[in-house]
Amino acid sequence: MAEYYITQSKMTALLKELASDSGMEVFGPVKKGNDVFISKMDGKTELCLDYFISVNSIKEAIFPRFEPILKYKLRSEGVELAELPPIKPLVVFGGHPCDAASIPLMKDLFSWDYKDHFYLQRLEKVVIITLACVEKDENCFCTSLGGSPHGETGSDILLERVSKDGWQAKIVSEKGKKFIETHLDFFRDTITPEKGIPKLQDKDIPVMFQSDRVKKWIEKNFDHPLWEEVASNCWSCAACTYVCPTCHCFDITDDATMWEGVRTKNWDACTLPFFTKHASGHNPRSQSYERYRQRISHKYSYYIDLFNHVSCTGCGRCSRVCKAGVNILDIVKRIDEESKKGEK
Amino acid sequence: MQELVKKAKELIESKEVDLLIGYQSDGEKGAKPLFVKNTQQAEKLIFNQYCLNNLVTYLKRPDVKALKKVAVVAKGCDIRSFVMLLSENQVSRDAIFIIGMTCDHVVSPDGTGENEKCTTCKVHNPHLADVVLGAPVPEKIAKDKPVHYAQLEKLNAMSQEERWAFWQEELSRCIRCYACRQACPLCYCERCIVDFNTPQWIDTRSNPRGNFAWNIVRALHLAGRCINCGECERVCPANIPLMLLNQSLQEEAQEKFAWEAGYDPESQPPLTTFRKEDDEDFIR
Amino acid sequence: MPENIYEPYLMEITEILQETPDTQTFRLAFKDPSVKEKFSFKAGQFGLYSAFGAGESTFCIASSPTRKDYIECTFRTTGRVTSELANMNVGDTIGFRGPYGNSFPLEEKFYGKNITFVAGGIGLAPVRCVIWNVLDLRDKFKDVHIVYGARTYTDLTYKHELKEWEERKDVHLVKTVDPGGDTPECGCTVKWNGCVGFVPTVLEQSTIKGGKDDIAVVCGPPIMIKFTLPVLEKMGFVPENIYTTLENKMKCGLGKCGRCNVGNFYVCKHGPVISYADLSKLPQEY
Repeated sequence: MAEYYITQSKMTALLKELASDSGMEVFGPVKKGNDVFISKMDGKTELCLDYFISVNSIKEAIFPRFEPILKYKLRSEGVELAELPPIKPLVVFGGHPCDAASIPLMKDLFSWDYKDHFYLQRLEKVVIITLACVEKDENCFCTSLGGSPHGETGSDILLERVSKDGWQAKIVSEKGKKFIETHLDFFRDTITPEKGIPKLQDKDIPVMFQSDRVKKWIEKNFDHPLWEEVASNCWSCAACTYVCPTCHCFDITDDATMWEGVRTKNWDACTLPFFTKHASGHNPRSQSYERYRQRISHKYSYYIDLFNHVSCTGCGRCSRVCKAGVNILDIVKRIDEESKKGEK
Repeated sequence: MQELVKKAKELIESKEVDLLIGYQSDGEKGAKPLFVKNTQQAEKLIFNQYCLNNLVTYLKRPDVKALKKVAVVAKGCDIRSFVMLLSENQVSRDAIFIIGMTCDHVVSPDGTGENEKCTTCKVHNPHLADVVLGAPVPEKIAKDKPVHYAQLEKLNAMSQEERWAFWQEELSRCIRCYACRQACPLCYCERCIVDFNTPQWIDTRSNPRGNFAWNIVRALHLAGRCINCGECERVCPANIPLMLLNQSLQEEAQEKFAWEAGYDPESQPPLTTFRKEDDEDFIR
Repeated sequence: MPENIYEPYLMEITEILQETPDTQTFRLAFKDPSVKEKFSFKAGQFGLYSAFGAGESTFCIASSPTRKDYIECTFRTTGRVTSELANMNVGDTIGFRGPYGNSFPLEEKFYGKNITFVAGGIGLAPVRCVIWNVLDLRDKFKDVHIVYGARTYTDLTYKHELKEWEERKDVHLVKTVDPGGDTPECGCTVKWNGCVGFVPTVLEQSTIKGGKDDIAVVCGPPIMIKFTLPVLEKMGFVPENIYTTLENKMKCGLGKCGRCNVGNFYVCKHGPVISYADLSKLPQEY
């Protein structure tokens, strides 16, 4: 099979070219302050290619912060449903394997009996170009959940750094193959692999807990005091869930004038105080630790019951953004410890 | 920090407080909140230049409010927010034990050096506390000298169009996670305006309309109340310079009402009081 | 079902009944005749009703699946959507998505059994769906008992149907109002001929004889349910045969929006109907 390479400058040029096409949506890494965000590009966007990990995940390209799910006209004769804008083809560049792995994970949810064609159509139309990891930090734990710093799950093309200036492009899916063939001019250069380019192996990110043991503990310990202890400093914002590649909860709201309206699906979060509050005032999860327990239990237990997979890819984003000091890895490791104690 | 651990154990053991909120270390260069309910947990307490969090924010939480007495470790700047809670009748002085820490400045773990807010600090030594720990630190700015925020200059030098473009770009990253609100000690409304839907005052979608409405309304609700702790900006996952909004309003409050929030629990914020001699040139 | 799972059917309000000062029942007809033709549901299922411009709200389908040409919903005005609905008139259009969720196992478990319905306040709505389903197929069931209570006479829903059930020989209805609740409100003077007492107490004092094969369907405010359960068990009902419907906040009804779950039990998908035997295995988060 042919080998494909692409330089940084060619990649920038390719993404800019694609982003100038109004028929397409292109997402890439953009620097802001000390951090990088996966952002929607236009032809003028300045890309940043030198970063460890973006604050947000690539989730918002495929599951947008808000999107119209219904449009209607309000007429004196009654209500009339209107056309929704078509879903455009997408290119998403700049996530890591922990981002890409979340996309098929959420597919299970969005196709559970009722098919959410907004998510599924985007999934069909997206080309996900992922960067294999060359760096890690203390919050990374993908290997504990079956992931890998050079994992292919969910990607269409995986880029592995071979020189300071470029990557080798590995075709992962048919979509990826077609993408490279269509834009072959950008992938023609041959780059001789340089020495000293860091490569991250699975063993560089040690496995830190056993997720099946964690699940067993969660099943039996809903009322355990540990929950309150580990999550009492959570102040109930949604930063963790919004940067999370697998958190998928949403709200549905209407916005209308006298003549027309739109119904949108908007990100929402189980950590926010009003998420489960009934109209009567009753709130099944009224305390912040109860909401955080839901977040962890959903990922590490309930999701497995439904779809046979942990709903976490070990990217560590939630821990990095949380300034209240809630650290998911610490908590899951702690649960694993408790579980081991129980086994003895 | 022997002194702090000792005091904490004393408070817990004597059952004077039901809960103590302090800091624990978080890696080599970092600190995070710690909820202490027993003497064993108290051993973990620390205080150093990485103790950035304003722990007073936890006092607004319903489960903390429900406790009989809570101790909180606080720097001078944090105590300013406690003073505001007092003057707005949100806490009872008797229900809170303040462990005031003297503090020269705090440092972000990202290596940016002394925190910007510390350059305008007038309360390196806690001005209201039940006990003060740590060696006294010389104050660098006189109490009555108005504060000027250097970072506002760039913003004020912009034309209206440039400012509009600047905020459009900055606020486009707002994902409406409400970290600013949840971390803010003075955002204590039981039901925030954005959680109201009868009527829906603020668009909850993270679109330009919703993001502008949300961030501006929050800034306005803090006008004359914000004490410059900078937590909203620090916790914002999208790096939005929220303090520019708050500081503009703080300078406004100083200029129009000669008011700085958070020093005197007996005085009232300017927007909750009326004085005949107030300058009313905003009414046109 | 439309390709867009969030797209509602358009329905016309054909009848409005003011049940109590803050509760109304809408009778709804599908605007599209082909949908009307194909639509079917089972007792216990729910839907999302939309007031266009305000949003969607979740209620059960309060009419019986045996009544084919329409569906009914009963709601209390509490929030944005219900306030908007409350201001609507006959002929107006609303949206409906559904039916969603599981249903009462009528054929599988209820046929041939004695059935006791216990409801409080607006909790009669989901129960009323089953009651009519049972009454429309009356010969498939043995004795039918209904114990229904509300705070006051005014708060009793479906008053016209209570009268009908009272008059029927094949149904035993016990209606009650809470102590102090028989005082006429809103200027209406009523000669109250029912009981005065809380639902669990009235249930216990009734002539109903429970047995381990008998079925109970319970719905009402959490406090009523809490005190009703031990009474039912004392009467001889077993947890496997006591059913209720869970009501958690929902936005999608499709198992996606992530807010109605109680542990790994999604109320919108695995529920809303659940037996007490199963409910007791779930965490207390409802």
